[in-house]
Amino acid sequence: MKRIIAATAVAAALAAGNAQAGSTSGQFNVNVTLTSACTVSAVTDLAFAYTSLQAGAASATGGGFSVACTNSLPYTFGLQSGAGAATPPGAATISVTDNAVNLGYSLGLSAAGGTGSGASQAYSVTGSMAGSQAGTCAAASCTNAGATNKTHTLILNY
Amino acid sequence: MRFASFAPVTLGLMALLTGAPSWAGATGETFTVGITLSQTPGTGSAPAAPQFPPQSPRPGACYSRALSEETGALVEVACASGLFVSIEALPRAAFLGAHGGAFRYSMSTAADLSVWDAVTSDAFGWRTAWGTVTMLRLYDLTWPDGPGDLWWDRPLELRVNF
Repeated sequence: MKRIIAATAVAAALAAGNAQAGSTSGQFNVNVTLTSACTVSAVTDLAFAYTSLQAGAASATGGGFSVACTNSLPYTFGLQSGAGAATPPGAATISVTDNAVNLGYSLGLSAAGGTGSGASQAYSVTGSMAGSQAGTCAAASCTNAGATNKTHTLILNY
Repeated sequence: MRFASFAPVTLGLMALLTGAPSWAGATGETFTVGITLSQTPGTGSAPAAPQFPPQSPRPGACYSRALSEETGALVEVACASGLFVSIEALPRAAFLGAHGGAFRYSMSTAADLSVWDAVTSDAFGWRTAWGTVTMLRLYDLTWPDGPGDLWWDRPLELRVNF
């Protein structure tokens, strides 16, 4: 009888695989460092069509751009006259007198900023030119192609 | 030996002092503003020579830079300050022409002109002020269904600049 019991125990041990003396567990973390970032598309150039001394203000066309930022990341916009190095945060509006056609205009933004969603979000730079300006033009029509202050900077702060 | 960088501390203090939020970054995109300036229709022809050339302008005086009697013409008056006054056509009003020159002008007693030292009142109750009208325009304000049952009642608006 004893032989039968011993043989059974050996068979059970063989069937169960290797015998373990014990076990323990350890935990580990997966650390992620996410660097938030934003990208901004090129800004569509703005264009004014103005008739000298026109009664009402003129609005610019163009100015659209899009922003893509990390989810939940807040950001703001700023404007800066000229094409020099951006100096954040920039201004909400800027006023410029074009040095080619001598017309003043102001630029603003469709929104002060936003919160990133991970997707592209559309905004625009807006432009307004007050009425009753004469401008300078020695012909029937002029453009500001020769202006040296027609380029400006959109700043995205995040 | 350990080295501590003060740059983050300084930036943080600057942000606190200025009240501005600390930004993780910034990026810039440039764009251009294009302008097409056109002249007002009707001003393509050369205007008559100014009658009051601004070679020696008096302080505060304004001078006509463009004077034309052409219908639809636009007269621009330049001031020493660099500002200008322009008289434009009234919407829907028939424009009767612009006339430039030096004129005496008079004003109705309806207005309080007590501060006008040079003003006198004539027998008809009109106060005459001495001055120079450099430009005037007449507009016919008669509407198809408006007032003015007789031809001499047709209301006119006289715009003067002096």
